[in-house]
Amino acid sequence: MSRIGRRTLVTGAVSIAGVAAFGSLLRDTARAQPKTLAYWGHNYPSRVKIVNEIMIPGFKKDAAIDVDHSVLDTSQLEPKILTAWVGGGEGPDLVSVGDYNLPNYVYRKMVVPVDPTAFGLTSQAELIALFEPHALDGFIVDGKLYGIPMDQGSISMVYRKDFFREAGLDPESPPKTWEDLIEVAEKVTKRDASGRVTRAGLGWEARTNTSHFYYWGTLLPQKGVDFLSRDGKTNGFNNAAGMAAFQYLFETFNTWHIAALGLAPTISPIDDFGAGRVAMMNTGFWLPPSLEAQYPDVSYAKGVYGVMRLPQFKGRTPATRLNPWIFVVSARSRLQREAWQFVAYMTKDPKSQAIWATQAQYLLPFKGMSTQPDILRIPYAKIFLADLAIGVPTPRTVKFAELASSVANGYDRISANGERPEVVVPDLAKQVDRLLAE
Amino acid sequence: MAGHEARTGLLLVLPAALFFAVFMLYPFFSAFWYSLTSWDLVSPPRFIGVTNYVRLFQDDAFWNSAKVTAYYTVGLLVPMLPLSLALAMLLDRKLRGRAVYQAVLFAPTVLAAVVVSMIWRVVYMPQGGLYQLVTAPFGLPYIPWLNDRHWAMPALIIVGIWKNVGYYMVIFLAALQGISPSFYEAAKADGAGSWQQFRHITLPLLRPITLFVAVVSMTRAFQGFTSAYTLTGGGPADATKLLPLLVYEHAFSFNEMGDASAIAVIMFLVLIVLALIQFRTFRPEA
Repeated sequence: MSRIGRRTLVTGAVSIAGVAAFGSLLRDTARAQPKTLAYWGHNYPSRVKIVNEIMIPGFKKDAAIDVDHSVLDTSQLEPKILTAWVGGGEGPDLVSVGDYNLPNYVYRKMVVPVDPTAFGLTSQAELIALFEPHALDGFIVDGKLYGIPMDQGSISMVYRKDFFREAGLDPESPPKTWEDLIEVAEKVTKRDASGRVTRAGLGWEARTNTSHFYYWGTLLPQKGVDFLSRDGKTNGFNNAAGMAAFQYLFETFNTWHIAALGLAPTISPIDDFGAGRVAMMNTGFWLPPSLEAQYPDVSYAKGVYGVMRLPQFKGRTPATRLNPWIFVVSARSRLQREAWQFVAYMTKDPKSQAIWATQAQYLLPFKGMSTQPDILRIPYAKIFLADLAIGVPTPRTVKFAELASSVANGYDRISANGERPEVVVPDLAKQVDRLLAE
Repeated sequence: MAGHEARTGLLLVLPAALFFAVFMLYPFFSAFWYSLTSWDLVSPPRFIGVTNYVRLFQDDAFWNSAKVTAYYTVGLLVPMLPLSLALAMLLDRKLRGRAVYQAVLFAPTVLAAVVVSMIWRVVYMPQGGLYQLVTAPFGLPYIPWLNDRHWAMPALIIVGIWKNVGYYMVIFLAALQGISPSFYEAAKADGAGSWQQFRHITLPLLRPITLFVAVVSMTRAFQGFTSAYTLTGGGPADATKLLPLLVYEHAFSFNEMGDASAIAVIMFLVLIVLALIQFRTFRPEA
């Protein structure tokens, strides 16, 4: 065993000290770098444009925090967020998602409550007071507020006035009830020589499992029931009212043939409506800006399409579906306060609210939203605001993904297989009851 | 000397053994362990014994996916293997432009599965789709390929055949070119016809390659995911929900890793049994 010389020892010690000093320098340099938030959102063009071109540069200038904005296809957003958050890494600090995800996120402790200090406030109560009464109720779990709305959406309907004219219908008198809609839809439906629908009078856009809740799923609350019972412990549709709602869905495909499946390679509400594959369809306030950006000829101002209240069933209490999208912050994030600061930057300032309202037609339910001149200048805003007032939230359950998968299967059986509601509804009810019991 | 050789041999095998242990054995045993737990990827896994398996065997969705997977596997393999062999035999002859035919048939193999799906989506489109454009002038009936429970699976099978037939054709072709012409010359001299030559020379000599192709194609068919995911999403009404799609749904939509692992373990065991049956069926005759 050779002895270690003094020179070797000194050289070694100096080297170690040098490496440590260099490491420390690197760490300090890294700390001095501007922070970067990871934000994931869906691929709605107007949202992407606002975030990329206005919000991120503005926030960087104000707070010296950069934002890495990832845009994901709507159908891929939720599984990717779940995978990222439950996987080994940190995943995104901030995401914007449909509010129906919230029970699952909170149950699995994936998200954190809103930090009021990031909004320049001292308490949650002060923050809630900034919003319309009850606007945030759906995002509070066990007294804690977990989400800030990016859009307090609700479902109304758009219709092609040009097709109405072509069919000899009055484009200024769209149907007010589902019963009346059948006759109108039959007139604007187009079929080829074999009788196959090439333009659906009524478009049920089954883009993702969750989209069912906003399209034909609105029929259930309009019949006074919903997918879940009031206490959320069993199904709420295996009854006469629920059966009637499913019967209407069935008849649109199999009796009146005014709805059709897969008219395009990809299901996109904007494309289906803009390209004229559907004449009427449920939608939110958000659709027109992107529709007109992609299909400039399909213009509201030129009378190519119109907006109407969502039809109701005769003699029933009016209802529609609420469709809020919310900002939530990851429990694993090391930049939680910064993430809420970015949300505050994007939403709290009236100027920001005006940008969302005019460019993306997102309704941020801060106090006074319904009287904001920027919103009221949009000619059809009052229609959506009226439907917002009768909105019913999506079912609240930690098993929402499973529920949505079962609902999508039930829809397929009725629409594609032509199975009758008397067969499908009890099966679906059994599935829903079982998953709620687990 | 013998000890030295053994050590060298072990050293040479070590990288492959390590690779196998880390990337094959460990994931399998992990999956088996997780299949005995309730795990949502957030809370720690909780041991629940065989509950996931019991639940799966009582679950209609699992049995539906098992049947759908069997349909896809058989539906894909039964036409594809003879077709691959037939094409290989055609291209084994002196044919003008043989290299071009080979390249054309092999091209889909090198395309990404998602690209293949995009191509076929355009073919199957109900309005203005290639199928409709080509068949409508001849008065052939419209087929709602992706929106009908009876047609959705044949649609996926056609995509599978189109993508894979060239790959297996090349394997068969290589094997055919390895058969000595002297066997055929001797058979001809004995008065054997084409069918007898195929039956008594080609097929027996292709046995090992047929085994390889059968096992590999079955395994790949059993793991079919991309075309079903991108073209039908498992629908309509779960008519194309292959088992890998069910695994994906349980794992990444429902966060039920225990259930997903249990399905994966069952798939693995079924594949092993099927592969053993194939090994017995196609083993070279003594």
